Amino acid sequence: MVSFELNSLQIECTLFFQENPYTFETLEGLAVRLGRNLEDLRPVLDALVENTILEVIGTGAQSIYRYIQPVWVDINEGSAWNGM
Amino acid sequence: MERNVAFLQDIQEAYASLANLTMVLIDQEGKRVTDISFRDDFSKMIFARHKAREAVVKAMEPLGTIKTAMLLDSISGAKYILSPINVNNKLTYYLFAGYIFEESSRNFVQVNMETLIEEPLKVANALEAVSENTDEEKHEKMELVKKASDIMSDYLTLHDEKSRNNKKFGVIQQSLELIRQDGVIADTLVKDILSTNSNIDFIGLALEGKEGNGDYCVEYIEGLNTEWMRDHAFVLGEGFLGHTIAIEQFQFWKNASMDPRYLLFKKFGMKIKSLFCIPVFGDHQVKGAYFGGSYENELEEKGSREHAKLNASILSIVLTTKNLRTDLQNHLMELSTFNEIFRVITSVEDIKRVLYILVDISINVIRGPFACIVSKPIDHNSKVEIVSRGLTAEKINDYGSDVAYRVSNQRTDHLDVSQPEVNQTSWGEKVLEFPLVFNDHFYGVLCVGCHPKSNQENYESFLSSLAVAGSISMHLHKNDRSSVSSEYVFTMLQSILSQLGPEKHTRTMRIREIAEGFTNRYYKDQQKILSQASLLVEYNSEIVEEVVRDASIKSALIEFYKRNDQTSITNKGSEILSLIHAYVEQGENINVLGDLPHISDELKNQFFEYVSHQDVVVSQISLSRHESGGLPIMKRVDAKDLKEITQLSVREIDVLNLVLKGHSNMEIASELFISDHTVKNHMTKILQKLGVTDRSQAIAKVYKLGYSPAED
Repeated sequence: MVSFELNSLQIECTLFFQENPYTFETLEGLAVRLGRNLEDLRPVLDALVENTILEVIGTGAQSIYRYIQPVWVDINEGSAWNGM
Repeated sequence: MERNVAFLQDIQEAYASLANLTMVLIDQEGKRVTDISFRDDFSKMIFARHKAREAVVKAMEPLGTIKTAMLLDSISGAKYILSPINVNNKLTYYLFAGYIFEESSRNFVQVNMETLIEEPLKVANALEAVSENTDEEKHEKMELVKKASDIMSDYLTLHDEKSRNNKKFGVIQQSLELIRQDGVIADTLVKDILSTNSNIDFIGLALEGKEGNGDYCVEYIEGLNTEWMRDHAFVLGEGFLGHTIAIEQFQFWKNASMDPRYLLFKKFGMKIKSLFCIPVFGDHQVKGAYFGGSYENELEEKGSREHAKLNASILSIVLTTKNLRTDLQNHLMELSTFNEIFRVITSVEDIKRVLYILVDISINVIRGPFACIVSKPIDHNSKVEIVSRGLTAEKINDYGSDVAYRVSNQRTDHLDVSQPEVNQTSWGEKVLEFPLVFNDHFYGVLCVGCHPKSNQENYESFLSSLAVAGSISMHLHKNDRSSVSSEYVFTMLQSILSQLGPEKHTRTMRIREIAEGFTNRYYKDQQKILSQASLLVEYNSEIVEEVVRDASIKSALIEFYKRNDQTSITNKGSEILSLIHAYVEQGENINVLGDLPHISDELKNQFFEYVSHQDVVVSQISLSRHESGGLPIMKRVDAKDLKEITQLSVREIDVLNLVLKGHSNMEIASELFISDHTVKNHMTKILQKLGVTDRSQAIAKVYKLGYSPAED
């Protein structure tokens, strides 16, 4: 049984921002770039902001969305992976 | 209704005649339902002046609603009977019956009438025709009117029940049809159900909330004073509804107001007499409750149970169908989304992006507090690489080290990729850990934090698939790192060569073409190596050392560059490359083979055969072009020359001629009157003498020599 809703537009947006990590774009600009309706895109971007995948700068129609790159850390752990 | 009126009219006529009274059936507003059954001129006179409606309305005004047949006084002084007719216990019509003249009342009526109607003679004549009634007669008439009313009431009730039942079936049929067409909406269905059940004053449907954690909400409700109850939330076991859901059984309360659980209704001013409630199932699980009740009429338990069972079943079907459709849509969506993710994750060139995809998609799916990948960098046993979203530096260190320590103490084949391990971080967050393993190679762990209340089963299968896709991608990256990235570098170097040295580039491409074809036939194990190595023949060992990571390609090229300094070449790839390079450099002249001391004779022979075979097509084209008058004629070789060159016997040349004409062994045997076995023997010898391994090479070789079989 499927009991979570997978939003394909949300996945599409995530992959778009990953591919273009330096995108700084308004909602309208993103709608044009992705070829989507503002109404469809707005809740998706809100969800991505909520999931800390995107950051929103400013408020209102001119607020800008940008991708927050995941943190990449190396830890030196001696013989961490011995035997793997 | 026409059939009903006709029947009512007949009853009315019959009883008007029996009771000798003028009768008419009227509704509550005094409108006539049947035609008046006149029995005397007096009634006609009264009705002509007052109409029945006025007469009844006037009579009813001081009485309000009457519950049984009554003898009433008219304005004329005569009396009439008004009898209520109930349909399904609900007052619907009145039967009017008049007029009754009490003993010695004729003169009194005449005086009254003369004040109303200025036609004394007419009044006198009308009154002359009526008779005065004794008390006994009045009683008889009253009984007859009551009987007529009862018959009408029974008939109308029966008919009403029938029409409601028909409507009920209509609703069921319509609902099932709508379910089939996916058009049914629960609130419309609830409205329809209410309209077909006269005894029930309200019905509703409470459903489980989306979270599935025992919270319920009244989603649909219809009936008087029920608006307040819409969206009312309750938990499992709470009140009448919560109780029914908890015990999963039909419940009926005759005197609901006596129960403490009635408080909720009382609070909102609902005075409920009877209440029923039944659980509604979907996918074999209780999804909510269907309930209803009455304000004034006491409901019957048996009838309510049947009603509730039937409608709860329909609603269950509606909900199950809706859930199934949603599930199907979600599955399709899940599948198409996964396909898209899989396509991207296995095609991206940067391993970093693969890890980002895993982390971000996991967070999108589970909406949890964090996601990270704890991975083992290639060739670095002492390092732990962590890509994370939603974790502070301190938590990354803490949790990353913990995962690395735990996993390193486990055997790879003991890691279950189909199911995550459920763990808890040191700061108390629940986390699902999916091992990234492919082909017994361990690449890391995808760790997805989730909220304490979330049901992990909902996400497991999707995230497991995602982890497998990630593992495959990481595997591809690790194993193809040398070849894939080298290929990219090789392409770049070719592009540079085409700009800076077009001739060298053309030569390189030709070398590659021949190398691929030749190795495909004789040295398949060298094909992939030489396909790439041949692209760098025009470069030098410094560049190769810098850009080539694949050891086989590198060693083939290094020895190739040193070919002129060595008496023999040990690396087969280098040897092949040296041979093809020399051949192409010398304008594809096969004679160059004699000038290559460091190339083995065996390789030279193979190459010679390969080139000869390749030339067949060219020769055939040359021939046809010659016929149209262009290129020089090739030197012809006849059977005698062929015998001398190849040492073939006459019989072998006979066999060869038929082979050249495309005959099979069986056909040759038949043509030459010899056995199959003999043909095979001849073929073996032919191949040996020509120095070839198969029939096609033999054909190529003899054509190359300029021989063609004589025409029949």
